[in-house]
Amino acid sequence: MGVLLEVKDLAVRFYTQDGVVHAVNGISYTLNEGETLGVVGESGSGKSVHALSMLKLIPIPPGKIESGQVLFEGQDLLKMSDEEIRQIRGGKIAMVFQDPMTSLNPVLTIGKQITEALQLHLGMNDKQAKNRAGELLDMVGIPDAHRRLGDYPHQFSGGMRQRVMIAMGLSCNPQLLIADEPTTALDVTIQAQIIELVKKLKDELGMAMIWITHDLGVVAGLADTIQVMYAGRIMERGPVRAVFKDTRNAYTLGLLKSLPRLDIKKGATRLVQISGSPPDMHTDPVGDPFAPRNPYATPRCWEETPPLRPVEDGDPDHYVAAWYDLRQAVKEKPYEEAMQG
Amino acid sequence: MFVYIIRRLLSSIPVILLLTFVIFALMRAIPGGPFDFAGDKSLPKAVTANLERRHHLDWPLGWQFSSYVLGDDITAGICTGLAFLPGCDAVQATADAGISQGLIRGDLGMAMKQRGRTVNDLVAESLPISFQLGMIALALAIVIGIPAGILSALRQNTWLDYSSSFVAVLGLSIPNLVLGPLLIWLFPLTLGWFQVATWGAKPPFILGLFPTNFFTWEFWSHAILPAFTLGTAFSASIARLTRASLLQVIREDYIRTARSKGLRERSVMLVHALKNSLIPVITVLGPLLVILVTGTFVVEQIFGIPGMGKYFVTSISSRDYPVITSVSLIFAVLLVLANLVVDIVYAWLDPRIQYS
Ligand SMILES: Nc1ncnc2c1ncn2[C@@H]1O[C@H](COP(=O)(O)OP(=O)(O)O)[C@@H](O)[C@H]1O
Ligand SMILES: [Mg+2]
Repeated sequence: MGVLLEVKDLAVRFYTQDGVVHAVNGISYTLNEGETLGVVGESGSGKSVHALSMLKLIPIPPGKIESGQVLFEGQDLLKMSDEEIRQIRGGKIAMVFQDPMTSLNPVLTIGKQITEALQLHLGMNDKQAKNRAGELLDMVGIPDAHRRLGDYPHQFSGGMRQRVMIAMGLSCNPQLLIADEPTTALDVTIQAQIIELVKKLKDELGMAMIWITHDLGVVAGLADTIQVMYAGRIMERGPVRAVFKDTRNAYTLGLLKSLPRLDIKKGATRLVQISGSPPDMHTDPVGDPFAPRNPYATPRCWEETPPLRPVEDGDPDHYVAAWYDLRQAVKEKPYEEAMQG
Repeated sequence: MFVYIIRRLLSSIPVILLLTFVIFALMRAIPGGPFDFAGDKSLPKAVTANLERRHHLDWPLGWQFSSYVLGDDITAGICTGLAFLPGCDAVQATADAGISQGLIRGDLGMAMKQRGRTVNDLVAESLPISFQLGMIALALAIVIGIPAGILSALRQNTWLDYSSSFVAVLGLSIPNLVLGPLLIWLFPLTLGWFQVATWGAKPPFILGLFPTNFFTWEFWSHAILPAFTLGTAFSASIARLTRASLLQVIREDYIRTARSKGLRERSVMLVHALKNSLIPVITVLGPLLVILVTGTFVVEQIFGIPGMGKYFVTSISSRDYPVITSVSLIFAVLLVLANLVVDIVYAWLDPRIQYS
């Protein structure tokens, strides 16, 4: 499988009236064709901004892409002209956003909202686009699809609207679908349905996907690779199994420990919240950004920012940014104990 | 939709009738009457009494209103049936179908101070002129205001935005009472452009409202200055509102969605943003129309235009009861219709609004 997307040292800041927000602080990673990457982190950790910046969709100003390259099929998206990046948006890279209530235009029919991309990128005429839009709605499981093209977003339920958004995202057969917390605004049963739908469609269509969420549990069954972000940096990255079973970063461990699990034996563990407050994005932190909340932090964590490096004797695709050795530290003091003391 | 329109119209009738009655009663509560003075000298007592009797001013207020709404014959008929009601003898003595056929038959009554002329005559020749002036001013306000607002928003914080804002604030803060005479002094008096006084269109009017010479210079040479005077403040508020609304809308999530589909910035603005941003603009158009209507009175006075505003002003001081009542009634009906149109446009812009 070839490399589809390569992000190199991407840094994004917002110059606001209250100061500079260091939203993304030099992240690098690659995504293969057909791979599903789950990007996880608390809200405010720069997940959305990193994704939007790739397609130059952040508001500029106040936003500014400070450095980096985003190579898609070998071409740097950040260097493209407006016209060139428009060909990519919605054509080769599509996005699905968090809130289906506000992400669809309330005064245009969903038919119109789906067909405009088809006409733009695939050059379809009105009739072809309408037919295709009907097929797409059918594909994402909207009953009576062709008749509903003339309906407006408010005539659909939240889950159905997110299905519409997904149909819209998939309409031009993108090579990469970026889903930014697509299920966060939905209730749990609907959330599960949407995840099932996306899994099925991904198997059928084979595109690569970046699934952004603040919920590790959601990506566990969906992603090939997990990438944990904190304060605009990648803290840990690796195959799902490696990250879950051989966790190397204290923040990842904190996320895992605060996850309700069904397979835990009676009395084994309580849920443990990560203590301390989220990072202040207004200062460019010196050292490991998670150090203030990390019970295993070493003096070096406060002084020097750890680079993202391959882990020692683990999966070759498993990377971590940490000065401490989490396996050793947990052996000496289990996480639950460390969080209390 | 059709049912909705009919229902709206029917349900506005009680309000309009109540308003008419309030004006009717209030006018009569003001001291003095229409025949107290004629020119400089007062009329002989007997003549005054005769005139008052002819116009039913000796009837109790309720019967006068009945005559205005239902006509003299029906009012007399009621009195025949219910003769015990107070004042019925006066009604039966002087009821005269020539004075009032009643609103229900489209008769607005006799003007008291203009001998032999009906209110219908006055309205037929003056209402179309006010209507034309108001519509041109409104069209001007929309045609200037909305594009100016869009441009300011798209070029936010550029010299274009600043100068448009400056002009808008200027337009909002200069009263018509100042702007009108200024324009008269500058154009017709100093430069010799355009016409002042009178109006370029004369009866007969198409459908009773529209000028036959709409596409002639004769019409526009009279219309441009007053319409501009009346329209500036509106175009300024519409421009400000459109700008604010569009700036709000382009921060919405669905605009980001539209951009993420690869649409051109022009389609994002014209297809996705504009329609949404006009919704609040349409909402204030209703109240703005009220100001527009009252604004016509002032502008007509300044430019010497023979519209309905003249009657609105003079009929109050001359206590010409049927004229003032009818003119108020017509303005009320116009506002009801205008607001209905606004609501229909609103529903067309925003599919979430359902009228049923
Ligand atoms: N338009 C903006 N203006 C200023 N700051 C922004 C803007 N968008 C995002 N940010 C800031 O960037 C940081 C990262 O945000 P985001 O990527 O949305 O986080 P999340 O991980 O929840 O998706 C946050 O601190 C947020 O406040
Ligand atoms: Mg986000």
